[in-house]
Amino acid sequence: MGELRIMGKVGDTKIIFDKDNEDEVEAAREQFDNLLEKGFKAFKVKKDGKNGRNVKTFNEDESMYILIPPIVGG
Amino acid sequence: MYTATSDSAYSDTWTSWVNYETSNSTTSSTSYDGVWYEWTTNASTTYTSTSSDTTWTQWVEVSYSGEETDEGYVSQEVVGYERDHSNNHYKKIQKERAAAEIKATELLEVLIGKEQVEVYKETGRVFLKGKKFDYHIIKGSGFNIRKIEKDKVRDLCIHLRDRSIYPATDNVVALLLALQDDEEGVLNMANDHGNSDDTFVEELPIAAVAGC
Repeated sequence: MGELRIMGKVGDTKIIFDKDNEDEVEAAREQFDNLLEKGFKAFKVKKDGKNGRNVKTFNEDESMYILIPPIVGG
Repeated sequence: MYTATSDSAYSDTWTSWVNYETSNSTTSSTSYDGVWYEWTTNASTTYTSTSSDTTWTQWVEVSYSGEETDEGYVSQEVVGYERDHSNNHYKKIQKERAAAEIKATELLEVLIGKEQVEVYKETGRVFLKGKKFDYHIIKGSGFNIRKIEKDKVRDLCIHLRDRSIYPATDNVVALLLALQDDEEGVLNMANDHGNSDDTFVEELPIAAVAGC
């Protein structure tokens, strides 16, 4: 199982997908791509939370992505 | 008298307000942030927030001159309504934000672990050892990152766009991920607001520790 954690106003929304289920993978990929188009950044994160890395493409074999809204200097 | 109108009954951000004394003319936000901090009447007078809260719950400017008119009496009723409405609305927002903050802290726990998140709950800080410098990422601070150099600490300002709508800890999560992935990019994007205060330099506050 993989998951997207999408930051939002009410805290993050969790989308869980089964990498063996094509429909779920496709829905997760579509969500991922839509958010990147809106300026979100995706970080793949291992289950232990280590090695978060910014990625541009969705891979259903990754266990977790955290998607964050754009960051700006203040 | 000024009173507010919202785009939606459930919106937590006021987008416009009306001066009932000047033909219902409306003034709208020019800010990108979700929270108003000042507004201007059509007569070019600026009213600025004096609240330490991030959200206004009521705002009223009353400047009657002469005798109270029928129009003025009606206006006072409207003030009462808006106060009640905004106070209930404020309570609802506070409840939603508290729930969102719990979720954000759970997300941070994924990154730094249960033990460190307990330290974070106490301190509101995450320490990260970077490749060039070390950092404190601070919850809900004007300066979200403190860059720790050899003999000084610099205040950096960088945050989620429209940060006021997100839980404060989501800002910490985002900055932690960004720093771990691209320290140089964060340093380039952040605004450096100069040296931090001396107390901070002499003794770094306790903070949760994030791994790289």
